[in-house]
Amino acid sequence: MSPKPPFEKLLVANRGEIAVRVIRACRELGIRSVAVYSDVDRNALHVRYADEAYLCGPAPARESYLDMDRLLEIARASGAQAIHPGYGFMSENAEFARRCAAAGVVFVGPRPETIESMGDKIVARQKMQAAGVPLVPGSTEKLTDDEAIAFATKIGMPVMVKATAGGGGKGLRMVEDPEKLAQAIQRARSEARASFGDDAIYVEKFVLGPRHIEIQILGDQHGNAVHVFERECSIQRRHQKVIEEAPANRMPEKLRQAMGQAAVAAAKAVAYEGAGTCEFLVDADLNFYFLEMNTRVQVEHPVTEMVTNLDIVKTGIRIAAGEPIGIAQEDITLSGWAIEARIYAEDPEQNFRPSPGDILVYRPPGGPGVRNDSGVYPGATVPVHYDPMISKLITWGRDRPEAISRMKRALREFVVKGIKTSIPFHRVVMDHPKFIAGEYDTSFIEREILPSQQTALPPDEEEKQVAVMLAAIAGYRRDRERAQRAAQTQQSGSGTVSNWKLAGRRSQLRGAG
Amino acid sequence: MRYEIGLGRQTYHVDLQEIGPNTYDVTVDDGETVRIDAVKNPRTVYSILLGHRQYEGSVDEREDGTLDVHVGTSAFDFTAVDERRKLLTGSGSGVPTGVQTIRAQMPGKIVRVLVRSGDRVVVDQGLLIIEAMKMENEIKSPIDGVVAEVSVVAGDAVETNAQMLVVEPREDEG
Repeated sequence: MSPKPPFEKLLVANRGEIAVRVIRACRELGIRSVAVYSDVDRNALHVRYADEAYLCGPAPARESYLDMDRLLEIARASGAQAIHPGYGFMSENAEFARRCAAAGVVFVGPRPETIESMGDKIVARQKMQAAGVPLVPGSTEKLTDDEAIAFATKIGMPVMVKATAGGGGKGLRMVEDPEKLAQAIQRARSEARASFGDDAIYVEKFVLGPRHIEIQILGDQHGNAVHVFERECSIQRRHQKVIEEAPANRMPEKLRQAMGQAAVAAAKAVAYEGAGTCEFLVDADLNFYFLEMNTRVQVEHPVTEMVTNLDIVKTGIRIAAGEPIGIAQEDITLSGWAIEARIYAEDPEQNFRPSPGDILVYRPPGGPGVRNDSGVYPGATVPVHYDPMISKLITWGRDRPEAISRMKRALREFVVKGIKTSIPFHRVVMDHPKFIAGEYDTSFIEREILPSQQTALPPDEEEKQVAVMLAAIAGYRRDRERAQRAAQTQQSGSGTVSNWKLAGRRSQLRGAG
Repeated sequence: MRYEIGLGRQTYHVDLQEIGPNTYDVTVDDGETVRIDAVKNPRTVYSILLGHRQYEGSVDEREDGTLDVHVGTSAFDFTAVDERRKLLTGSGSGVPTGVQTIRAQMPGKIVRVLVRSGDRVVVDQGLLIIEAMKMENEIKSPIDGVVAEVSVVAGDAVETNAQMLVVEPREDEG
């Protein structure tokens, strides 16, 4: 712990739980924090936790949280020495990182060149291949439609058609039937054009039964790089992570070491600065393949923090100020097991439809081994304009069964009303035999959960009896309230009439007199 | 009070007696009567004590009037209808459309007529009050519309099936 804060003031160019997370790190480090908020976020939690707050524009993100001019203007006006982008928004935007540097503000994250090369999947693959990191078999060049079809035919189905600028599951198409290849290429291109303004694509072999395992890395300006072990993120819906854990299931120590070393090699190959993540696919035979490098702090960083006792966000800020990582590889050790459940404002029963609105009741869980990184509070509003994640519920246990039982206990304590959330869905996963056994891959939700349409636990007979009684009580209270309201309306109605009558009588009296 | 609680195709008959502010004696389908203590305030969900067994639960009314009820980790979609009201209005099922003739569902006496012919009314607005089985009940409009006909006045005795009112849907909206 250095007594002197790495910065005096830091601007957090984000919202929601990650803005809160960064502001918390700032407060612990003695840094004054500057929040930005759009028109609909004036009342948001991150604004309340910050030392200063500036309006950054209207609700649409591109006019507020993505407005580079405005963000840099706020940095200058507030005197912030650094900007933390969180994840999403400006976090993997090389142009923004460059403009920060030009404006004399430290961008908390890797250098613009690193963001750029890792943001282009083709360049990333070339660099990783050069560094000896195993890649998913596939092209290392952008392909025309004809080249893509020829290449896919050569390596054999199934394949993944991927946008070189891709991310977040966009511009991604799995193809099993060669007949559908041309169509999939068109789809991937048009999606990529819409999302990233770049429709270049390449082709990879589709890894069968893949698990998504990623390695947290830290690199500093002094050429040091370490890995902070792995996270398993195979519980995904539509390529979006839903539940993550650390360490990974079915992870022999030898594989852990090999993947860690590959991630460090990857970090060194791009002179990585700050906190980042190497994503890998691991197949059923425990071969691993580099997928991509995320040049930012990850949503799921807390599970790593829980099992290593490192503070990844604070470390990232210190590194940005020029400090060394501050811990040697051999001093980073694993302790216990952590699981994270992303709590989304969405309705699992309605095909996970977003459920924005006002949070009427909010009672987060607590107690031993429970951490809730949240961006909301009772009475907060979940706007329609942004990501619907309201909270990350993380539990730690000495072993995986304890982490799971704590998660189940915490999910039971967690009460959110006014909006729908994915809490019931997480309960289903925590009770699923394959999840409990740790035997799952990225197809878990599509294959094990969705077909059964079991997005909430089956009703308990005892609870059903109580629910029937509660429905009658609620029906009774509802009808009584309505009757009272009707009675009040009638009274005030007749009151109005008599007042008019009274006035009429008065005027008649006046006329007579 | 007797409530008809619908769950899919199942129906439960629940007798409810209010004992105190949050306390009820409840009998489901003429079984054993149990005492239930259900408290909540606007900032939280129900805490339910059934005997000394504790449950947490919540009830949210959906736009279509069904109740989204959660108890513990279980969730249900119920309908809850006061059986006497259902008997009186015959409006227990479905969303009514078209011209609505409001008839007495049992013999009774008109206490008060709340609307006049030509009045615009909205769904659930009180139309008249009828006394039957020594209870006063407000008969509500099943639709948004215009009162086309009023066939009774206060003090009238009505027999089962007697026409009391006609409400027509408004033609200028739709």
